[in-house]
Amino acid sequence: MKQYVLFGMLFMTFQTHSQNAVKITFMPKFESENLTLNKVYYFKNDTLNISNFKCYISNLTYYKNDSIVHSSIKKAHLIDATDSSSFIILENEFFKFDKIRFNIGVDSLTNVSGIFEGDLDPANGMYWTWQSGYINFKLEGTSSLCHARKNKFYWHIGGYSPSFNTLRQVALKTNGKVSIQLDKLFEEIDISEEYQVMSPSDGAVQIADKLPSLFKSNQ
Amino acid sequence: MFSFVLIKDNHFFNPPDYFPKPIYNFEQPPLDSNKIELGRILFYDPILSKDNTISCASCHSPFNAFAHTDHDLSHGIFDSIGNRNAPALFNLAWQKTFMWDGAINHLDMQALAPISHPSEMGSNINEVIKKLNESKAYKELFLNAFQDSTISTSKILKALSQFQLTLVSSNTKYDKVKMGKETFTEQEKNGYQLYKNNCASCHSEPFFSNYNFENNGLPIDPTLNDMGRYVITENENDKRKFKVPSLRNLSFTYPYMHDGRFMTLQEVINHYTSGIEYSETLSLQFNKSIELSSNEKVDLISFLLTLNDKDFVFNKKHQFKKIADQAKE
Ligand code: HEC
Ligand code: HEC
Repeated sequence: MKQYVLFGMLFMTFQTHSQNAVKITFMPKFESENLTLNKVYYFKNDTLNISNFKCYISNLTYYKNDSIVHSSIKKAHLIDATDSSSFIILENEFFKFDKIRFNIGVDSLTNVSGIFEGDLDPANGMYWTWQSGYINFKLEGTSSLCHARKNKFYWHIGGYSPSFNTLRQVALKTNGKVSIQLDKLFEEIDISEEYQVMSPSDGAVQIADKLPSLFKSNQ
Repeated sequence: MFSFVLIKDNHFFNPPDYFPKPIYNFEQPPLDSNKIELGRILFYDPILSKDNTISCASCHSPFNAFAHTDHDLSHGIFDSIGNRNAPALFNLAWQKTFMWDGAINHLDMQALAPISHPSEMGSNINEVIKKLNESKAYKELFLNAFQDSTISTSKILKALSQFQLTLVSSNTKYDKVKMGKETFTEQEKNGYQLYKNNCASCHSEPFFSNYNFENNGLPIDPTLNDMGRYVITENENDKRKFKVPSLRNLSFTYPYMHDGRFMTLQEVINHYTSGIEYSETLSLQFNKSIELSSNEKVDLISFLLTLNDKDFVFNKKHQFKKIADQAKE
């Protein structure tokens, strides 16, 4: 009898395991729409498009009633606007949660620990080659307000040293659907001034400060 | 701790007892002959550059202790000239940071810089992976080295690191004296004392560098305006500071300094005795000027020459090795 109960329970967990494994979706958005690369957006008094968006999510931790229920085994996850499968983080496990906490970017220990594979492979274009360090958040495109050549802007936000630390933490009450509101960044940054940030610097730190507010729960 | 034990037993990497524990983590993966050989072949292969003309060895020649001597500023692809003098490569396992300004924080990541630099090798790692994948011979070498023929960034970088980690210079006359196998001449002994009094705080034993950043009073070259460590940290206190280079193998590594401004050791010594330029970040050691008679200069140089490591510079195991031609297709 006991054995049957045990078997039954095992069966049930197996079922939930395969069907309801926890997943989080990080959807890059522009205003109410899902982001489309190279599409022209009319935003306030700007005409802009986004040609490249990538960002790291790391140290993802799940909470229920403010206690930790799970920590993602994946060290860092790369979100890449050209690949919608990268918007999803799958946990291979079922548990209940009401809040998540994660970092935007790659932590300093990883930054000084040499070469990694997979999402952290420098071939993904999220590593500075001339000065060691991951780019935590990358957004490129054109904006009519930007006076650079061909109106191009480059926001490569990275830096792990204490003086230019750009890693930012986010805590969100959510059931698993998160949007990344890229439009918010154009509201917060004066693109006519800050159109080229490509190294660890004060400019990068200032933009990093704004990144947590892009992440919204989509209940 | 564990890595220390591993290294001691390792026959590819056998530093003397008076070398401290390496900074490089040898555990993942440990050195082995297949990876080292693959790294060596890659180091000498221009396939790493965009137009297949430049290899690592074009700027880091084994006969110059892996520095570069025929031009003060290293030539790169399309003859554009890099801004800095190629440093010698040895005892890299003990370095905390790489490049004159410490821009690179780990040996594994270093090779990405020259491969991607437009005026050095002008390629990028994806192009390199693609080219290597087209070579049957390389696929085989990667398979032997990593039990997996998928060529990836991390395998390329690990192999290059493994080869470079075997570049250990520890067989100079100084080392032999240290081990009680030889003795200094009177002149060298005198030079050693002068070195200890004037140079050892930065060029410290046994590497003849503490690998820290210092300003040794070189006047700024206005055509380059290179601020050294400041470029990375943007900290005013780091202006004009450069990573202290080793004094081992100086006979092979001229020209000297980050921009290769001095051709001879005589010029270097004269800089320290009469060329130091004051600036706010000048290292404190130079608050008191260094005074050396002409005899003392000769003695100091004769000591510096005991730091040449011919066994290292002419070691066949470090020299050019080509990927097997017949397998290349
Ligand atoms: C065009 C010349 C050139 C080529 C090609 C080149 N290097 Fe260098 N290398 C340099 C210069 C110049 C520096 C110093 C750069 C600086 O300080 O900014 C350097 C620095 C280094 C360092 C750091 C040494 C130290 O003590 O800090 C290593 C290691 C190194 N190179 C390895 C390599 C490898 C491996 C390759 C091939 C993948 C390579 N280099 C290709 C010119 C070159
Ligand atoms: C305060 C630290 C300090 C002291 C003391 C010092 N040096 Fe240096 N030395 C440096 C630094 C830093 C460099 C590299 C400077 C650069 O390229 O901008 C250097 C470069 C050199 C070089 C060039 C090596 C190469 O490969 O390019 C030689 C040779 C040298 N020093 C010899 C000496 C001698 C001999 C003494 C003693 C008389 C001495 N140094 C004292 C910091 C120091």
